[in-house]
Amino acid sequence: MFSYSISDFVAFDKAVWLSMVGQYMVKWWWVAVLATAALLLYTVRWAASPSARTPGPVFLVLSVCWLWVAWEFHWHEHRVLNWAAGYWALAFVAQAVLLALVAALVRPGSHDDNIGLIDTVSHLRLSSVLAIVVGALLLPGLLAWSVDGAYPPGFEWFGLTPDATAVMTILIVALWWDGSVWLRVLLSVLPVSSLLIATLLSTGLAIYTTGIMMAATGLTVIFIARASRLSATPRVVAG
Amino acid sequence: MTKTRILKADIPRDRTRRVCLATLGSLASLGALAALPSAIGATPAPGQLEKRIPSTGERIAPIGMGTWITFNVGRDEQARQARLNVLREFFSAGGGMVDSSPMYGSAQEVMGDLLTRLDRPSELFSATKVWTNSAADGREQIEDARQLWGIDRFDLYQVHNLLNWEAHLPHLQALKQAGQLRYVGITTSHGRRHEELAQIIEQQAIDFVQLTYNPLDPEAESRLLPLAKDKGVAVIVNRPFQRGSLTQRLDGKPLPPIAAELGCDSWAQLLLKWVVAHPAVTCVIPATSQVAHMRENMAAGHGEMPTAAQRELIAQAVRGA
Repeated sequence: MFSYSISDFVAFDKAVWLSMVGQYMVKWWWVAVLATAALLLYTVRWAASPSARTPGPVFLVLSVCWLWVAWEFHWHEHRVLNWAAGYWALAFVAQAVLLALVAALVRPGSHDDNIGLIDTVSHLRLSSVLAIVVGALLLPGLLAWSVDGAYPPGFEWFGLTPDATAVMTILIVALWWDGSVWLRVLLSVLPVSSLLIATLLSTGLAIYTTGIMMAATGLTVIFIARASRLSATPRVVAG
Repeated sequence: MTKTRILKADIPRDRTRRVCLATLGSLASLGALAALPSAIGATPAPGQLEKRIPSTGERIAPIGMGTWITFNVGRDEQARQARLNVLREFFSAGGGMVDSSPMYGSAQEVMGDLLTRLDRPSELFSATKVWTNSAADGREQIEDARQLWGIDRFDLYQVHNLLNWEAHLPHLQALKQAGQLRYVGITTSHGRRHEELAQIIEQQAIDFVQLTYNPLDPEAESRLLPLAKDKGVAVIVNRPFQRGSLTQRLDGKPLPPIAAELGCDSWAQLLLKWVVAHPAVTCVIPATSQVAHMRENMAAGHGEMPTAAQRELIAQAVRGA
């Protein structure tokens, strides 16, 4: 008789996981501060200034964060509890390389058939972009507290933990309307896959933050896509 | 089922004692050992069910412990302290077999650390597994496990989930021949690959087989358990509580009248007695991270054990609850 459930694939319990995340966050909180400050700074510049339309610096920040999560979180911390974390670390390195390549190679306006972030902002407004980014920063902690009963410093945070970093990456890529569709899809494959797997596994641990984050991220991406279509329509008419 | 007095497991650590044990095992097979209750230096644990490893006749405590999830606590010192108390309770209640695997994250390293803190209890019956497709990696895993547990020679080494058993079993058997481990086994869980497991029991020289068996997953009793008994292979039962889901399901439900007859205070004890009372079962390895649960589990190895008819009543009560 087969009697598998999702929980049979998770080799530790909820308390141990939250404790590990908490100890890791205490150890590296300053990295979270640096990553957040850099992300906010470059996102505002990217969204607000026509001369800074290239997403390069933002993607570079994301790349460094994915590399950090791969090395310090998955390889050094998560792998102690879970043999599969080594493969997860490799995937995160691959995503970091992709983001770094995009940061280095993509120039503003290189895809004339797409609209840029500024056009999106004309409908979303800078405040909306900032609301999306700040929401993605705060959501993991708020959910962990309200849904899973976790307390700081056990909250996940962008740049330090995988799920929060994946959520932010998906949203930033969604905001990047200057990029070609295939490139945006390519940049989203690993973050979405990581979130999907994490949702399955964390549900097995009775942790529901990741699943709700994923749903919220999906809804936000739909919102951004609809706003961008509204933004694109006048250009088509004008053309 | 015959009620028997059980002795606390005492595992010989050197070659001389191992030879003595093998000799005594032979005597046991002739029915002579029953007259020598403390012949191998074991401390009797009054009322504990007696189980013996068929290939040697060595006594072993019927309730062991697993480490899946519960001992994978990483670097969390608070959690390690809690597990230390669990392990201390296990040995003080007459426990012996501790089972782990390289699949269980940090469990082997944590176990090694806690055993050191407990000054290496002599009652330990160390059991772990090789879990890889690669024969070369398997050898590396065996060496790593020695380091992680901090022991030179494992009592039992098993092939985890039949993974590349064709390569690993001969190596483990060679290690056994060389005196680098005492017993060889193979494991499965969740009812996987029972047909192949039956063939291995029939054709390979193994001392132990580990499988899943509980009232909701009784498939093993139709073929594997009788076969193991017939072939003189010891049986370790994993997942007696279906990884907690069975005890959760029974939580709050009234115990059947048979529980009082058997001196059981909880469903967990009833389930464990149901498992170990099967004549083919040598040891059951529930996992827990709580001292109270460990105490409860260990109590199941004592007192009256259910007869075949009583086991059927228990199974009906569990399925009907």
